[in-house]
Amino acid sequence: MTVAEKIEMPTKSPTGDAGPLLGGRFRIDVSRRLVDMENGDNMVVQATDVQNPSAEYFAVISNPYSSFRLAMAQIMSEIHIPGMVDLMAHGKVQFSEIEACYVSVFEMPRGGRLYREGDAPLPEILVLDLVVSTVATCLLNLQKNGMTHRGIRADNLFVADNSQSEFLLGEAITMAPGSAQPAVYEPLECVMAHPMGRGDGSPSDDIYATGVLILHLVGGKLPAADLSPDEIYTKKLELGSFAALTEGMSLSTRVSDVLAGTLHDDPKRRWDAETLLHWREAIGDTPRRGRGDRHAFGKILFQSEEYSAPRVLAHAMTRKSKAALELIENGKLAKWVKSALRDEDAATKIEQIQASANSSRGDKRFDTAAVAQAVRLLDPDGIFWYRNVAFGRGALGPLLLWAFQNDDAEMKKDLMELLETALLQTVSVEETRSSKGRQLEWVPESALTRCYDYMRRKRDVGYGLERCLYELNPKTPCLSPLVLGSHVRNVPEFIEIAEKKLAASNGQGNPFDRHSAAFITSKAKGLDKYLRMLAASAPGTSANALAQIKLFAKLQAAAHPGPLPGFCRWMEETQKPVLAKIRSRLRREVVSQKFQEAKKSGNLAAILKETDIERQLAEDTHEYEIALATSAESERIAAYLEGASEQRRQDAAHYGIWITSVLAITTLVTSMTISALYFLG
Amino acid sequence: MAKKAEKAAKSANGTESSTGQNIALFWVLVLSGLGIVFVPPTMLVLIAGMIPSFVALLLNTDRSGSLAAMLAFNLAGIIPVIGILWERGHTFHEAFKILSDVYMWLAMLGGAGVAVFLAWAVPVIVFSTYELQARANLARLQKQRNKLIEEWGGQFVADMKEISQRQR
Repeated sequence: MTVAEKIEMPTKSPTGDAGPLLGGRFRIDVSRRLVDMENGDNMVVQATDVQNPSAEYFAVISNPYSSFRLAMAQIMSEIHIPGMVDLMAHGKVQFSEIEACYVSVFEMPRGGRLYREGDAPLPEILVLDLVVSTVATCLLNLQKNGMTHRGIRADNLFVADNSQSEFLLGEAITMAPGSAQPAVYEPLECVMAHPMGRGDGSPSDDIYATGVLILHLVGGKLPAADLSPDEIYTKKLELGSFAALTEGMSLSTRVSDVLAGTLHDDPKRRWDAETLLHWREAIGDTPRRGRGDRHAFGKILFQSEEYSAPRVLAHAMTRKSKAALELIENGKLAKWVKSALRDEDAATKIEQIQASANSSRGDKRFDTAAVAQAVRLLDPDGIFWYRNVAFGRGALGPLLLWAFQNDDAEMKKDLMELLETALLQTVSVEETRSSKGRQLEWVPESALTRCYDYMRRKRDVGYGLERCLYELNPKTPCLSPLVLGSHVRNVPEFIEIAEKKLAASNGQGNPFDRHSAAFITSKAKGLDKYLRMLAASAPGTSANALAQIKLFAKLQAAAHPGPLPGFCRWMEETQKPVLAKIRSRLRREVVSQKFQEAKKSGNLAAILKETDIERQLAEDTHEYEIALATSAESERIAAYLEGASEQRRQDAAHYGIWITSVLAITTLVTSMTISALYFLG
Repeated sequence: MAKKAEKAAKSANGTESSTGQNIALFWVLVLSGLGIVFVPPTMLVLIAGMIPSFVALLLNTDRSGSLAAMLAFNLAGIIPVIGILWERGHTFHEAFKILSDVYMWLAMLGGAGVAVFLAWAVPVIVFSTYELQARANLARLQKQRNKLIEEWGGQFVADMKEISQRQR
């Protein structure tokens, strides 16, 4: 069972029939689920406007692991994008005291889906006249606002009303960009990326998707439906997208021309939204068709096969990285790039990689990094590849979220390894130096550097891959099991929800697991001191427990000054190993009594101050040592007393003789004195 | 080396002690000689009364303290008898008369008897006192230990055992 499967999405309204409100206006009715509209892990339900009950809306209840495109949502809530469902509102909705989700309310397209898989092909005229113009208008507006749709596909196209004269593109903000797209809808640059790692892409990616959409609607079936993404990619590279996708189809000249313009493999030569909108004029000059990958002047032998196209070779190298390393190390790749591809810069860089690879033989990470860099040089516009992960340059965050959602150990391992090496920074710097425009594609370098630093302390709580997750997905709610499903976005909310959960469970629960630690440390400042204390002590020890308590005391003071009885109960539980460390029964009782008194305040800092546990521990340790020394001395004396009977006998004899002597002398003197007085006096 | 030094110290002590004894013996002989010449009845009573001390001296018990006590008590018993002799007229006749009186012997030998009794009884009494004191101390230590165990718990006992084992 994955983590996502454990998440309980709201199933009923807290107040009976009436559901919770979003922004005081849109009522979310979780009892009326719209399964047909759902995509991915998000839940879609009916929504109503309390100000206008006749209007119809649908609400997307986001899964906490979903990548919500907040920037796009903010723009969409401010402006109307023609040709796309309107975003009416978005925000956190409280379903119960502790259950909350991020909800986006959209205008309901009353006509339903335009096309469902298995439906008959749509008339060409309908597609070219209405669908294309709708999509092109939408894309033009999105492009003007610096956005991409990344969700243009047949099942995301709706009929706006019952008259079937107006179409609308569905929403594409509640999921990672491009994540719901079938592989065939993706251009060469990102088709091989993990669905969650496709990234925002560029407007030309939407144009490409529009081309595939036309083909899908006109053809009546998903193009290349029987091929795997790998086969689709290879076929597109070998034949060009147009030829690969239209193979065996009879298309009109108009459609062929529109497809040639939209499915061109070179993004620079692909139509833009403006051209697409005026496609009738554009097809006057018959558009050239893409030819897939460029071809070199010579061939290179790799794994018993000859390659003449760099992207095809790069793809093959990612599949056989060990053999790829050999190809780099023996210098054949650099030679081929120089002579056959005539790319001096790339050849020089590959030579440098070759030199480094030869000087650090046996280091697996370095070997993989060398192959990744060589692959990137062969396919500079393609996705970033590293072992089993492949993603667009800005899509590391959603990919990481997916890895956590599915608890994909292999992917997490690969991503950890990647973030531990400085490869991403190196490549990012290199690419942005050569082309300033590429800076926008990349995850910010500062974020990568911070992730690198976090991975260096990956074993410590508050660091590691979890911290990178929140660094790369700053809007993601806390994914700690304690608060999962409550859409916790900041520290005060975390404290509030954790308090409720801890109060309900009588202090049973862990508010400081790796997720919550990473979340808290990424949102709050000034916790380094406590993290160092935590890193210096093993989990379960009293020092560790004390550091956790101190950290939450600081958080309470900073973010939630009110009483926290649930946390106090948790503190009581957590403090048990600390109290157990106090050896003196009396001191333990005194501290417990003080704790119980201070607990009433609900203030962790006050409890810490009142119990003064550290001083108590120090004094206890000191007194214990004194007690041990005293006991050892007592034992020594007792042993001596028990074994010194003969010594005492001797001493008694000596002392007795001395006493006798004194008595004797005294008696003698007395006798002499009395006799003298008696006889002489 | 240390043994040699110890032996040397012992022999030095022995020499000093024997020198002291010799001096004392010299003075005793001189005084005895003078006594026999000038006060023979007194010397007769004194020598007869000092028989227990001579016996103690001959037994050589190696307990100089006891011997000294014996001499002192014995002498303390003889001095009143000699006073009586001098009071009655310091003659051999009176001396023999006194020596034939059982009470006089009781006075002279009683002092020696008291000395013997005290030399036996006082060390026994002191030893008993010491034993009582030691037992009281042991009881106090045991009580203190019990209090510590009660205060610090089972771990304290374990740590104590460990410390004891380490010390052994």
